[in-house]
Amino acid sequence: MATAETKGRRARILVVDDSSLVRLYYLSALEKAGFVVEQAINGIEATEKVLDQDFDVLIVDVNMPGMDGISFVKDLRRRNEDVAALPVLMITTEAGEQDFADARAAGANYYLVKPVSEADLIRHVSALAGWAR
Amino acid sequence: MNEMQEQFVAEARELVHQATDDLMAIERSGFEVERIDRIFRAFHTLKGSAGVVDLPAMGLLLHAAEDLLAAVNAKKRPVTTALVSEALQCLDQVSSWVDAYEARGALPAQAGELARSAALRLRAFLSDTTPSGAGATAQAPAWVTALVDQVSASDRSSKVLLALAYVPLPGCFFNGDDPLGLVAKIPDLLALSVEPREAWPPLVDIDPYACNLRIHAIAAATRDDLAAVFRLVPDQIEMFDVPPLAAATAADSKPATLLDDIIGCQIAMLENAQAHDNLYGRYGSAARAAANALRHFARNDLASEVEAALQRARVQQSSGPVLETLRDLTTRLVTPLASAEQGQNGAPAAGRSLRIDEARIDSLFNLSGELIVAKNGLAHLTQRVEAAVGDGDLGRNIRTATENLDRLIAEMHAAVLQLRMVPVSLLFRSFPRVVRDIALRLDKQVELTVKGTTTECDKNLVERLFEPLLHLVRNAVDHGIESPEQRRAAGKPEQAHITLEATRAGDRLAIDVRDDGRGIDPAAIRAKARERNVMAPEDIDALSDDQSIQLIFSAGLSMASAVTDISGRGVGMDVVRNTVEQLGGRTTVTSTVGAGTSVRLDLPVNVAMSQIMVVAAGGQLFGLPMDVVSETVRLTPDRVSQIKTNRGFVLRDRIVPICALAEVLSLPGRPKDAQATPLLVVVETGGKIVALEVDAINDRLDAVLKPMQGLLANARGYAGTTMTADGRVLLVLDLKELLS
Repeated sequence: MATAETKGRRARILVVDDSSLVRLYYLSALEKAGFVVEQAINGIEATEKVLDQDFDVLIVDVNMPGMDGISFVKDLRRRNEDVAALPVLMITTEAGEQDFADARAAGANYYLVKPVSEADLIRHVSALAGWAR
Repeated sequence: MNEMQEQFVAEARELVHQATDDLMAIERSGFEVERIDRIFRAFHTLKGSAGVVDLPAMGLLLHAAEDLLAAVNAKKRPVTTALVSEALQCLDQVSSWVDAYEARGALPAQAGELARSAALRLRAFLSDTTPSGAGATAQAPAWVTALVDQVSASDRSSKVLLALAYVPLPGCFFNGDDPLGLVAKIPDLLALSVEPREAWPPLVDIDPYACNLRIHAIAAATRDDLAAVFRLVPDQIEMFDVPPLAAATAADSKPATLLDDIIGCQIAMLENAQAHDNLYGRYGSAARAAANALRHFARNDLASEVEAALQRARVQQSSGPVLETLRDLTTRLVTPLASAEQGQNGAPAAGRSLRIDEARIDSLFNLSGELIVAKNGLAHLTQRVEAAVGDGDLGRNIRTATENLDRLIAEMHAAVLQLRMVPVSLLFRSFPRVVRDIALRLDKQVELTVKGTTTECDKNLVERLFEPLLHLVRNAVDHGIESPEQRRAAGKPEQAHITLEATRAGDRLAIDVRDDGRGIDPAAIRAKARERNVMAPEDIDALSDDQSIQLIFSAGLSMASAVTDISGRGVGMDVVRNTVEQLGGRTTVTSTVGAGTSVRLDLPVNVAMSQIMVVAAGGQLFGLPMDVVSETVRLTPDRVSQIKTNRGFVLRDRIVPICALAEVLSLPGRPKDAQATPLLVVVETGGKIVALEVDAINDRLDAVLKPMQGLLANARGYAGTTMTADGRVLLVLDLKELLS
């Protein structure tokens, strides 16, 4: 059984998705597993939160109005602050090789294809957050 | 019992535990190649070991169970609750036989008979429920799994695949067969491998007219299509169904590959053409993701390597060092991971460990206890020496030496206590099974979450807390959790939740058993308490809701609406409280009607060392265990009220009766009026609160209690003895017994 800690505190996750339903789904799954979860509706809000608070992993949707996931990650990686190196789990809609290539090119560390099962989400987020087991 | 037999017992227990965990996991999550394989191996190993120590009955039973699991492994049988129950029952039998074997060196007399009937039952279960016709599909060999990996995921999920092995006869060319021509005709061929049937001989010996090939293929074709293509060589082909994708992804998703996969993704990201931008964000996040994943899978050594590489990368402002290190890791990860993963699933992956007989640790522990007693005597002597020689060097030196000795002995005692510490996972590990069985029997859906398993506590606690926890967990499932219909009606999910959690704060261990069931209704408790005359009716009326629900710990009060064989007949909660209090702990319950109940056991981590308060009464000194002392009070006479023949006083809205300790112990006390302002020690135990009047409160000491021995062994009311600083024997009172 995993303990809900990394570096002695609970791991913090930022969920970036324009759909409130999708956010709620991730939120409940992650909180049940012991993560602390923040939300953002697009890349702009995500950037504000990332600059303002500490996170361990970002879960980022691709298609969002305002600033999409690909642009957000590209921009994040170009920053000079430590936030540039935050692990990103990108959630793509299509399983096409081109979608993965885009995510990789932007600088995503891992990608899952929608729909993501709760178990898969927790497994991957736990690993990317370096959750102690 | 010789060493080999001991080894057998220890190994068998471990295998039974592990297989139990795995069986319950597949019951929850369905077919999982890796787990099924491990379960199968556990049964297989058990069977083999039973043969080694010559227990044919156990071998017979396990053999039948192994056949059942082989059917699951070959996917001839689905994983069902009934099947898991059969396998678990078999493990129960094995486990009870292992106990018997350990105790008596042999299985019970009727074991052979039992094994035969159980084996028959298992085989009947196997044949009854084997789906007809499924036997016709041969088990897919290993190469199928390897080859199917070449097929793209979309093809695998959208098409029904068939695997084909074609081994042409050596003389096939002379029969007019064209093996490659036939392969070319396979409809929808998705993957192909061609290998020599036998290793190639040296070049000079090769017979170019003899076919030495084995051809493996995967096609999205039907059996009939393939049979038509190979109609002239039916004796040379074999066909296998390819397991559907669901099972394949389960295999893909085992933790080891998740780690490989994550690291692979980081390499791919860095290798990407645009990666030559050498952005810190890019290689930094790759290093962080990889290091995190390594930590997650307990490869901290490798994680540090990645972090070191990141440092170099930052200096060079290039992703090179990270990329190289990650590439290097992928080649090294393959083998050692198996063992790391073993560690996660089995016992905690410790460093190197040494198995020591418990008795030796106990004797070391006793010696260290006596050392503390001896040291207490020395401290007293030091004071006398100091008093005698005054402030000179001698006095100071003796004091310093004593203090050093003090510190060393305290450290040594702590180290010895550490030897006795075991993780609570040993205590918790049987509970998933307990919950599963009860829930199944009661038709309830319950998920148990176990938290804080790495928390450590004294082995004594682990041994003694099992029964109380078992009781609490059973109670939670039986009484706490509603039936699925009731839950639905109440607007709750049908699946109920029970959490078993251990937390440690300083030297206290807290164990919580929480459920999200119906909660405890204080009014119902009060009604029951009246009905059963648990206490005087006016006292019951005076109880707050919170106080009322604590009554579940009173003897003879059970809230079961119907008596079941699961949580007994109204005995138990009082036993839970008593056991916990004997261990120096407290029990509290909180509950919200409709939302659930939570019981907390709060215990000292080390049961052995006790804090003692030394008091004087009736001209003698006595020790009171500090964990029952809640405070000390000196009362002015006006605060003492006479209630009938007893005295009492009001302490924060509670009436606390006063008893003179001397009287309780039947010692000649001082005349009552002599003490105008009584000195009281307020103690709380067994749900009672009492103020003990004492003549003086001396000091506190940490002590290891020695049990009463010899003639005094049967004296009631004493918890044990210890030595005071001046070397006198101090009797430590067992207040619970004394005041009951």
